[in-house]
Amino acid sequence: MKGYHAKILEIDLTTGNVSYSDISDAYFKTFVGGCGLAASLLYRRLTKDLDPFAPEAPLIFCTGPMTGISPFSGRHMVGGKSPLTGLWGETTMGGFFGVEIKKFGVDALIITGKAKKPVYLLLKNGGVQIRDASHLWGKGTSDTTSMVKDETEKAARVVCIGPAGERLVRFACIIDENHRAAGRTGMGAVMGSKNLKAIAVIGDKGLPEVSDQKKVKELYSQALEKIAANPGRELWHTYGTLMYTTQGYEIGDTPAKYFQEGVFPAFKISGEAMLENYEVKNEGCAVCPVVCGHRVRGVKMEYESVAALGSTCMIFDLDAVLDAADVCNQMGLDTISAGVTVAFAMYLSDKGVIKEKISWGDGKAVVSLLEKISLREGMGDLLAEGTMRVAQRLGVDPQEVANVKGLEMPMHDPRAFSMQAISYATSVRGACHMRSDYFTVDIAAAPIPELGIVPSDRFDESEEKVKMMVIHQNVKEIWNAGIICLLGIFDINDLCGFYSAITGIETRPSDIAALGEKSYMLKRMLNLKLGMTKEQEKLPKIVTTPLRRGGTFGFSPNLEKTMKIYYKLRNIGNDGYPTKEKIKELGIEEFVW
Amino acid sequence: MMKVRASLLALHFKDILGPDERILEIEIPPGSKVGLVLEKITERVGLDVTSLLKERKMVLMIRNKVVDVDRDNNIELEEGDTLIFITPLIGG
Repeated sequence: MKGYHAKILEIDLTTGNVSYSDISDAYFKTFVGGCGLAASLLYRRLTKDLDPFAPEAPLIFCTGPMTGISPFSGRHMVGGKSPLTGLWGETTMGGFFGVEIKKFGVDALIITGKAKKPVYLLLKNGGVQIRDASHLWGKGTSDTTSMVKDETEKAARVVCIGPAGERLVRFACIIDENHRAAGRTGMGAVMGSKNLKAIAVIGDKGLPEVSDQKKVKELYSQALEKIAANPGRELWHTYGTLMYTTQGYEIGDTPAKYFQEGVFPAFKISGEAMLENYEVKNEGCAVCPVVCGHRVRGVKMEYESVAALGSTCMIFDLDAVLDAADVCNQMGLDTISAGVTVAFAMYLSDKGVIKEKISWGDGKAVVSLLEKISLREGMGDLLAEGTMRVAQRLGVDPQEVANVKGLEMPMHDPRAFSMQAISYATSVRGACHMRSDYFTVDIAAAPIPELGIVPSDRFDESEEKVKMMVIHQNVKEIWNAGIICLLGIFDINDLCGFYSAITGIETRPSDIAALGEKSYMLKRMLNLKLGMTKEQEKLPKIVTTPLRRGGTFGFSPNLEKTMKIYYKLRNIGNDGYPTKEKIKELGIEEFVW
Repeated sequence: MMKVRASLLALHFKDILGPDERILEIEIPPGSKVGLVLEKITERVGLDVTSLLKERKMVLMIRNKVVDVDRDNNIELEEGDTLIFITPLIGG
């Protein structure tokens, strides 16, 4: 099928065996690519009893049909069984590795086994070298990236883990080119469990053929014109995601004090403050005409990091936030889970559950804790397990723990948008704001009017609203399958146009929603197979208790009501599975457990 | 007269108002419509907010819902209402 190489490269680090296999068109036609394709490829290998750190546990890197071909497609995903949730783990990342691995000539790279000693991989000319990485073990992500490039080729694109991944911190991430992170669900720890420090790739084969090259070029030119004319382009370039802090604050979307406070000095940690007080450099991903990434005082910084390590921990000193983010980036920690876990420690310290005094707003303590977590030293060894396991070990009520299914809550408060609350409860990977970023609809940033998804009252919990959310959740599955940046100036018509021209399959917006439903249901069934229960699809009280002040004053999402509607609309039965009729309608019977 | 609050957080206000000046209290006669507040803000800060809203360079949220200035300009405001002006861009 056009747009794909239809090849998987599999490397067994125990034996050193390297093999190529084919992917049939049926997989592409049903699950498109990226996260959906990865889940389908690993569906049978992942079991409830499989230890995510066992050598046989697969780790997959996967691209999509758009990768490297359309604007905003400089992305790939990393997936496997999450050591944080025990369920399906997937995380997409920008940067350059995705396009390069596609140019190497495969759609997916699967790694199994465990090397006897630390290694890194060099993929070049269709071949694989497994190289000693003993001298890299213990190094931070920037040093590792530089050293791997020095030892291979400057043109190589590199992903690596830091000390946190080496020590199996359950929310360790993978860093691309010292720049972007595959942050969520702990894939850095899975990589570490295989003694795999880094992967360098040189894409010397090129991108696959597309169905209609002339049309792709035409669409690309049109997209560039549209992006250039969009006022958002300049704002994205100047501020990036950092612009959101104060806006999020005003509507109660930016959390503070471990989700317990609605009023705080947001301007002190805003994008505006960063631009005023520091040297800020732009950094973009491959095939991105916007370049929204920002390095502040030399530290890669995004809104999620600022809120997680700043307001959630009640830190409003930018230097302290930058220091904390720098530790996460170098050690290879997911900034969201890291920030929420540290804030949880502050909360427990406040309550006297843990003896150590960790004060709200103590930036030095946060940096110290993050280092200890990364190295699993002292209390850091416990916190490295993530909030769910910390609570289990200390006997803390799960209602006080800000996660869903073990994945820590991101930086969009579920009290600020009723549909975001459902998104967290039902996401295919736990509390995730990128599987349906519905808040973007209700602030009119990214509605999808072609499918009837338009801004409305953000607290509305009607069936009509839940229906929009279900379609939105389906559509975003294909953004993550494409793989297209959710922040790109790229709408569903762009997606349809490129997908049609690349694959030769004429596709309309409603087809995207239909494809997304297959992907969502597949992952749902995978999670049920791995032990997920319907009872886990809820939010803890710590993030739903109405706040007494701030932008969400008094509101609490009524999940009891909206989840009933959600299950009905999705044809999900009491056992959590879609009905037989729905599975048949979707044509994914072969994946039924 | 009654008071409404305007929260001017859209990025367009950055170079005009300092962080402490982004919240305005505006006095209007009871029964006033949204359009009147937009005029008063334009007058006070020297930025044509109505045009910016029409061009979708910023959005206005009232009572938890984004309003369309063309369609909803006649919404009657109530004492204590907050008009939130934000840039319709999303945060990571």
